Amino acid sequence: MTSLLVYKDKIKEFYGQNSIYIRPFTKFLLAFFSMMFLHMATGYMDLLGSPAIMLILALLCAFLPNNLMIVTLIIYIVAEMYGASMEAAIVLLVCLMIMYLLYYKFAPKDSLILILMPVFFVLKMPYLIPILVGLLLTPFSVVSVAFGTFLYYAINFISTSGAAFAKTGEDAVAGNLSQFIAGIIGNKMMYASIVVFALTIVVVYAVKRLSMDNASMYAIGAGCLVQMVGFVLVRMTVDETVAILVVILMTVVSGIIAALLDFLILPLDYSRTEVVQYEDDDYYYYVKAVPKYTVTKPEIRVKRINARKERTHRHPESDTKRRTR
Amino acid sequence: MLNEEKVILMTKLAIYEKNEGKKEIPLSKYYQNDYVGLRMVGTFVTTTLAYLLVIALYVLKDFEGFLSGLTTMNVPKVVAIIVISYGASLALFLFIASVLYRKRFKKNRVHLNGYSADLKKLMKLHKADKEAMQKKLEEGKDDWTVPIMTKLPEYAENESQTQESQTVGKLQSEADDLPDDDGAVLDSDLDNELDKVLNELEELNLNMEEDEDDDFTFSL
Repeated sequence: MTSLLVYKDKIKEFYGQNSIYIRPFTKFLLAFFSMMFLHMATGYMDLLGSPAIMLILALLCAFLPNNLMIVTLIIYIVAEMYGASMEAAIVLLVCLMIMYLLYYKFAPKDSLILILMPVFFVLKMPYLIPILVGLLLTPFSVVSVAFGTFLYYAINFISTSGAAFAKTGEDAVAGNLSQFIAGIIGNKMMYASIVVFALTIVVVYAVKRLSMDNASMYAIGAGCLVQMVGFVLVRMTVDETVAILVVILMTVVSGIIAALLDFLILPLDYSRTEVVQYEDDDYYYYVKAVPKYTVTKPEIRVKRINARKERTHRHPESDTKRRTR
Repeated sequence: MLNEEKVILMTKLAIYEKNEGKKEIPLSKYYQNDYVGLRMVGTFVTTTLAYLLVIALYVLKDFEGFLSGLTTMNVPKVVAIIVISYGASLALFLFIASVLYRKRFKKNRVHLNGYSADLKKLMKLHKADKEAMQKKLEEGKDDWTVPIMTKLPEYAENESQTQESQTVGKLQSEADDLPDDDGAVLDSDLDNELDKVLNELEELNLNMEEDEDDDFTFSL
């Protein structure tokens, strides 16, 4: 057990010292794989699917600030939709604007969830995100998960019924628009999924806040259970084409991944190396501040049971000591 | 000398300024009501915009139906619905905004108070440093952190200490060794030079007369 804790501290230390390289690299990977899976979901614009373009965009994203990276990915999605149907792109753009104006202006940090939901839907593992959100964020982020689900179903709708929107020409625009909007809004599976995910987030958040040991693990378990039961109910009531075995399997997989992440990588107090410059009257300062981590050693508590009696001839080790961890 | 305590404090301040401080320090000039009020105005604008977009989507959802129903629709009822729903959503979002930005402001203030407390500490350290330096100067100790000040003649104990006065002394002694000469050129030298030039010119003139074809004349 302790070796795992030591390992966890070593990871923190590694990150603390090398965060200057790790952060752009992680952003690059995130951007690249997001684009790859998003292209798989839509698959209309071949230009955007070429590895060279994705590589260049991902490299760009690696060095942009977080918000701009998200904006780039959103533009990528809209561009993909444009390849399928101009009307779809317009409607999606309007929806994204509404989402921004009503929610992301207040909580810009949740915008990553908006991108991750469609990506994980493609990976057949959308169940992971609500669990993680419940562990790391507040129930208010339900909105972001809902928007992400909506985004996925919008993209999916286009890719599955894209042929219907192939008609071009001025007359068809209005018709296409209404069809598209109606198609997305009328998707019952989407609403059902949103409800299940919302419940998951609330349950995970509530269980995690309980004051007991390993609350996170119970929270993850509870989240998986809610999703499994939820989707079984959905299958019975809303949509009978849900492949329930796949759902259950992938929920379990998501739970395992969430547990791994929670244990190894998600401790909240991450510090990173800071490089700062400043000056005073006498000097210019170029400072690199590297966070300190003391690797936790096993605790040895020395507990004396008997009071020390004053004796002259006495071997020190005959004192009663008990080693506890 | 480097004051380690000062460096650590300055580094901490610089890290804050680089990260959260970028957003929070510009907000330090607002009072709570001003900040929240400003943000609520922004929310008003964004909510109105979003509402218009939602209406646009709603209309587009059934565009043909909308166009055909345009003539027959009950205008007061529709207007009432629009106004009431707009008012309700505006109220909701303004309420959310006020709560959120109030909380955010308080959190910002806590950070800013910590920042300004650190700044005050730094100021104290800086003052203490300056006073210590001043004291050293008054005692006349040669402190290498104030190189320029000790070189000034007024601050030296005796003239032999300052480098500058040493150089001046050297130059003065070198000057004393030179012969008494105000540096002017003697008249006799000038006369000799003039004679030389004139002789050369006469030679040239003699040479010139042999070439009568040239128009070139040379006269002094």
